[in-house]
Amino acid sequence: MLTISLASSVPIHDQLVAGLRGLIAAGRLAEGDELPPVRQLAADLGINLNTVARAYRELTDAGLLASARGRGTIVIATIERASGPKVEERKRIEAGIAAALGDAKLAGLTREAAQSMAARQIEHLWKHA
Amino acid sequence: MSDPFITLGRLLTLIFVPVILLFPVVFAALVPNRADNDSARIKARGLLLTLAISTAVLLAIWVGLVLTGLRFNFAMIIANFWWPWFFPLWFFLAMPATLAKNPSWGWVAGGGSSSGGVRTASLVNRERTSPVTRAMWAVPITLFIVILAAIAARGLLPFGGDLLVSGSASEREAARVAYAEVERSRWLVSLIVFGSVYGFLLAILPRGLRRTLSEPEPMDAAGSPELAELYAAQRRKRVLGLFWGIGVALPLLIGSFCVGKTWFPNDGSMWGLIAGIGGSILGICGTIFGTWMTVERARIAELAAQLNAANGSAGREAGNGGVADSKNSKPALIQG
Repeated sequence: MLTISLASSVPIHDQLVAGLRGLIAAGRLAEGDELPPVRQLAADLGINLNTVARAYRELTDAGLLASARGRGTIVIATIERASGPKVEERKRIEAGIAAALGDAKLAGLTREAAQSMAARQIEHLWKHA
Repeated sequence: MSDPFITLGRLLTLIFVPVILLFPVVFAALVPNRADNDSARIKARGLLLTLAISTAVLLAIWVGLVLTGLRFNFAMIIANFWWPWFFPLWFFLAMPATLAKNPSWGWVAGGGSSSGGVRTASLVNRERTSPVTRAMWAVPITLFIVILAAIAARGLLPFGGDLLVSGSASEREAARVAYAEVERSRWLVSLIVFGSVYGFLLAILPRGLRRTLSEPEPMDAAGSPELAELYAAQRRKRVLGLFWGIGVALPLLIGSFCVGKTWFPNDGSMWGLIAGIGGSILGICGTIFGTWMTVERARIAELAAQLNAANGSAGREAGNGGVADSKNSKPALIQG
């Protein structure tokens, strides 16, 4: 299932990309899995065709999806194509983790609660690895 | 041609108009009333009343036209073409009344999903779930070939052979040649009409089925399996109905008419009447099927709305890996 929120301040396109990346990262979409056609997903979510097409294209550029004639859009990899040097990539990820943990701290979570939360996510994401 | 056939044909034409005009008001009246506030209730009542009055006025005028038509034929012609009033009744009154009575029926009235700001979709490619198998396609294709061959085969026999006319030998020959020409033209028209109509239907049917499979199926935030099953069952019925109706029954009717008219041209008017009655029956069946599907679909939309309401905020925060964080574009964290 893929869910978006129209009430969110995040653009729908970004929600779609984030949602699909999340599903791939969690192993809910595996290599070879087929995604619904653009028209179907757009109709189900009640959004513009181009928004879905753009999200698919972005994930295709990232090396996660591919469009094959007669097979539609399929997941071809569960690891993104690096957009830059590995060091830069790691720095970007670390910055994201730092931002998320910063949010946790600002929300008043204890060190243990944040650790437990992070551990749960790590367990979930890497359980199939 | 016997009189009872003509009477039956006229009777069917006469019944069709009031039935089609009454349909919008009956439909709108039967929709369960789930208006959640007074203004919606008042609006629904007002629209329904306007619809009922408009229908009554149109029916009264139609009755007047029919009665006048007993003496003046032009009035009967107008009465027979009174049915297009269905469209304003349906689109301008019945649909808004339906939506006002029950917002969950927005799908019927073109108002979109009533699931609020959260939208959930299944990631299953429904085009791969078509109940129409490759083997099933053999039925319409075989039908097309057999009927086309049956019409074409008539061309192998001489035309105008069974004409009985009096007069001199040269007059009989001239009449026979003229009649043969008419018969040949009819045969050719039947061949072209059937070949092109059925050929076109067969060509567009796969696309039509794909479109039917891709019709919106908005899920509740929790992705309820019950809702998914209802959608799947309804989708199956819709696709099979379209396949057997458009792909088999309709061409079979047109084909039987063309074959009958080609091989037994002297009974042309009877074939016309049979095709007319058959077409009306098929149309009525199609309408009943379409209405049934619409009502079923609206009930599913109602269930989806109820499930969304029950899920409430839990649904909005459902950890399906697909909900984006409201602060940034990263996926929501997986809830334990």
